[in-house]
Amino acid sequence: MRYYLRKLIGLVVTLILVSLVTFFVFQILPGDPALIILGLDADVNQIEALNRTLGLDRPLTERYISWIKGLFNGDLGISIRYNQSVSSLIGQGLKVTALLALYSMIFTVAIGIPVGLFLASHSRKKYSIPISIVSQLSLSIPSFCMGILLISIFSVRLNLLPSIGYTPISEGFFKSFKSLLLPSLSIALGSSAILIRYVRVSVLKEMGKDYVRTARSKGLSKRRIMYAHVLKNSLIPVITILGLLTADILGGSIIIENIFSLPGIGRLITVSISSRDLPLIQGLVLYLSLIVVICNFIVDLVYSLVDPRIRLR
Amino acid sequence: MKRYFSNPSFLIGSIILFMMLALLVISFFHTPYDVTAMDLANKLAKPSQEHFLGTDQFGRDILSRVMKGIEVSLLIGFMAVSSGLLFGLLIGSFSGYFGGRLDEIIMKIIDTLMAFPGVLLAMMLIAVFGNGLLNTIIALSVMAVPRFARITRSGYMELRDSDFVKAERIRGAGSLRIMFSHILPNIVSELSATASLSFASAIMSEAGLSYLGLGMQPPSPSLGIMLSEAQDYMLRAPWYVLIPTITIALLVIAFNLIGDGLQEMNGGVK
Amino acid sequence: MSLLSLRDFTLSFNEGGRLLNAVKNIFLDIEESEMVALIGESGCGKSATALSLMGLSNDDAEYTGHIFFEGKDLAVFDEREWRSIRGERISMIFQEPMTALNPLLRVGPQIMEMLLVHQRIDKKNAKKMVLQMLKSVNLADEERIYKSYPHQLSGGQRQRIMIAMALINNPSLLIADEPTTALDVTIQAEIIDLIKRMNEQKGTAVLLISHNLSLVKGLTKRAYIMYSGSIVESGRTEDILSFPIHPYTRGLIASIPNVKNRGKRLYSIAGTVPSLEERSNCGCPFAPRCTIRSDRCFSNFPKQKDIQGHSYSCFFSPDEIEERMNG
Repeated sequence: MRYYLRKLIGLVVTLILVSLVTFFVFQILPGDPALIILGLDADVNQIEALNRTLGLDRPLTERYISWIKGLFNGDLGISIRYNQSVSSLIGQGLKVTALLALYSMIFTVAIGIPVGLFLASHSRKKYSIPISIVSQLSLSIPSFCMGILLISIFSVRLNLLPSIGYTPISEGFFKSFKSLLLPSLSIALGSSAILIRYVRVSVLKEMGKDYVRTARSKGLSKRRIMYAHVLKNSLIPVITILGLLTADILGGSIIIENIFSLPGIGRLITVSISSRDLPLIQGLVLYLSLIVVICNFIVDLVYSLVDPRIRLR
Repeated sequence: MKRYFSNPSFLIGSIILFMMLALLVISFFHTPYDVTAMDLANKLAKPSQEHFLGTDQFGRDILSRVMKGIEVSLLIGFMAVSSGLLFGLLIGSFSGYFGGRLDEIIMKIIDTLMAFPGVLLAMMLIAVFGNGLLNTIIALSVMAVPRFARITRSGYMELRDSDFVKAERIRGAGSLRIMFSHILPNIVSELSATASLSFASAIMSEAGLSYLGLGMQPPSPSLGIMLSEAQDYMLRAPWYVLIPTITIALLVIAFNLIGDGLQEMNGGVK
Repeated sequence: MSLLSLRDFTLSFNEGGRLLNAVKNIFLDIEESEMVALIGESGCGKSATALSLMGLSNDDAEYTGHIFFEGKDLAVFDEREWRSIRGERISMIFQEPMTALNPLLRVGPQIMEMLLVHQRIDKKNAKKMVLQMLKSVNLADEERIYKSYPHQLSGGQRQRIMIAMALINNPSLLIADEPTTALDVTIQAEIIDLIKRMNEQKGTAVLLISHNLSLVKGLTKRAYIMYSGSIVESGRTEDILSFPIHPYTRGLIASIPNVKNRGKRLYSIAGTVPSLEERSNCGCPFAPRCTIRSDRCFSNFPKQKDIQGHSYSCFFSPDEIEERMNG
C-alpha cells in the first residue's frame, strides 16, 4: 500500500511540475504576447482587448491558478485562431489522435512481441539475420519518412489505400480503419522495431535463468516452458518500454498527422504554433504531456500487479 | 580503431556518414547548379544527364539542393548536439557528483522535461521564440539536454564512490579535478554513443519541424522543407519526394547505426 | 540389475572443432532405494554428470557410452523420450533454491504443474496431493505456503519446496546437486535429514552430489570420488573415509578440519582443478597436482584396481601411496 501511495504522490508532483513548465514557458515570451499575436501594426485598443481576453492584465500566480481551475472544469480558454473553446477543439482532435495512437500501439505490440519471441527462440538460425537487418532499418527510419515511403508504395504506385485524409468511424469502421492504416503503420514499424529488440534481449536473458532449468528438469515441453514460465517473466521489463513507446507514438503522431492530413491533435498543434494561438498551444501541450505522464503511471501500476516482488519494496 | 570497424553496425553507419560528409565537403566548393537558380521551362524534370536527380517545381536542381540540405541538417545537428552535450554534461556531472538536495531538484526538472513527448518540447520553445535557424538549434539542444544529463549523472553516481576516486581524494585532488580529469574519461564512450543517437534524433526533428513549417523557412534548402514541397507533387513527380525522404532516412540511419555500434561495444544491448 | 548404471559414459562438448571431455569414461551404479554420493571439487564434472542424467546438457553436448536406467539406454533418447523421464522417473534438486523457482508464480501451482504434466489427474485432487506433500516435507501451515511466492519463503523453505516438487511423482531416482551448499549451516542438517527420510519412506534412490566429504559420512552407503571428469576412487563410504587410497581422496580428507588436526595448519591440495580447455587427454587427470606422481602418470591413464569392492585408479598400490606420501 505504501508503494502505491508513494507512486501516487510522485504522479501528483510530476503533474504539477508539467503544468508549471507548460504555463511559465509561455510567460517568458519576449515582448508583448498580444503584440506578437496581432502583429506590429495593431492599435492600442485591440491590444488591450486581447490582453483582457487572455487575462494578461492579472498577476501571474492568479492566472496560473485560474488556468488550472479551468483545466478541471474543462475550460482552457478560447482559441484565437478558431474562435472556439480550446477544450472542445482538443476533444475533437483527440478522437482522431487517440484512434491513431491506439491502432499504432496495437500494431506495435502485434508485430513486436511475436517477432521478438521468434528471434529469441531462433537466435542461432540463419534467417534471424535478414530479420534483424529489417528491424534495424525500420528502427532507424524516421516515422514521417516511413509515411512518405508507404504513401509512395501503397497509394501512388499500387493505388490500394487512400493517401491522405481521415474518414470518421461513423462512416463505417472499415473505411475509417483504412484511412488510418498507413499512418498507424508508419508509426508502428519504428516502434515495433524497438519492442522487438527489448523482447528478444529480455527473453534470452530469462532463458538462462535457473528457474528455466528447473522447469526443464520437470519434464515440461519447450512450448510450455516458453509460455507458462519465460513469457511472463520476460514481458515485465517490456511493460516499461511500452510506457516509453506511448510517448514516442504520441510524438510521432504530431508529424504523421500532418503528412496524412489527419484532423488530430498534431494538426492542431502545428496550426496553433504557426498562428501563435497561445491558449490553444498551452492547452495542447498540457494535455499531451498529461497523457504521457498518466500512461507512465499506469505502466508502473501494471508492473506492480504483474510482479509480486515489487509491492513488497 | 580496428575494433570499431569490426562491428557491423558501426561500420555500415560510418560508410553512410562518410558518403554524406563527402557530399557536404563538395558542396562547400561546388554544386552542379546554383541552389536558388530557377528554370521554369524545365520544372519537375525527371532525373537525366543534366539534372542527376531531376528538378523541382521551380526547375531548381534537386541534387544541388540536397547537397545544401545535408549541410543544413548536419550543421543544425552538430550545433544542437554539442550544446546539448555541454549543458547536459555540466548539469549531470554536478548533480551526480554532489548528489543531495540539488540533485533531487535537478533530476525532478529533467524528469519533467522528459515527460513531454519527443518533438513537443522543441515545438513549445519554437512557439515561444519563433522559428529560424538559431531558434531551431536552441529548441533541439534543449531537447537533447535531459538525455545527456541523465547518462552523465548515473555515470558520476556510480564512480564517485569508487576506489580510484577515493584514492584521488585522499591524495588531495579537488572536486573539479576529480570530476573532469578522472571521472569524465570513464564515461566518454557512453556519452559518445548517446551523442550519436541524439544527433540522429536532432536531424530527424529538424526535418520534421521544417516539414511542419516550424523550423527552417523557405527558401532555405532544408530537407524537411523539400519534403513538404515535394509532397504536393507526389503524383506528377514521384521520385521528387523520395529523394529528400531517403536522404533524411540515410542520415538518421547512419547516426543511429554508429550509436548502436558504440553502445554494443560498451557492452550494452547486443 | 541396477536402477541406474553408467557404462563407459563420456560427455563431450564440441568447442570450435575440438572435442572437450567434461566427463570421461565413467562407470557408476545406483541400486534401487540406495543413497550414493558423488564427491569432488567444483568444476570436476559432477554437475555435468548430473545434468546428463536428466538429458539437460547443452545442445552441443555429445554422449558416448550408455546410461542404463530401468532397463533402457537413455544415452540414445530424443527430447520427447527424455521428457517422459524428467520429473517422472528421475528428478533433480539444485544448489540455489533462491533462484530455482519461478519468481512470478505461487509455489503451490509450481509443484502442481509437475502432477498435471505427468499424470492424468484433475486440479482438485492435484492440489490435495500437493498439500499433503508439503506437509510431508515438514512445511507446516501448508495452505499458506501453497499460496506463497518464492520471495516470501526462506532458503530452507524453498529447498523443501524443491524436494516436494521433485518427489511428488514418486520418481525412482532423485539427483541432489549440492542441495545444502547455499543454505545456513543449521538448515543444512535439516535438509539432509529430510532427504534421508524421504529415501527411507518412499524408497527413492538418491544420488547426492557434494564437494563435502564429511557431509556424506554415515549418510550414503557408497561414494564415488570424481576428479576432472574421471572417477578416481569408489566404494563403501566408510571404507573411503577411513582408508582412502587415491592421493586425491587423501588430500580431500586431509583438508577436512577434525579433532585430530585441530590447531595445525589445515592441509590443502596444491593447484586448482583445470578448466575444460586445460585438461589433457592422456594420463592420470590428477597427475599435475599429485605429490607422488611419476613420469608414466602423464602418459597413460591408470587402470582401475579393485580391493573387495573398493576401487581406485592409480599406478601405485595402496602401500606404495602411503609410503610415498608420508615419506
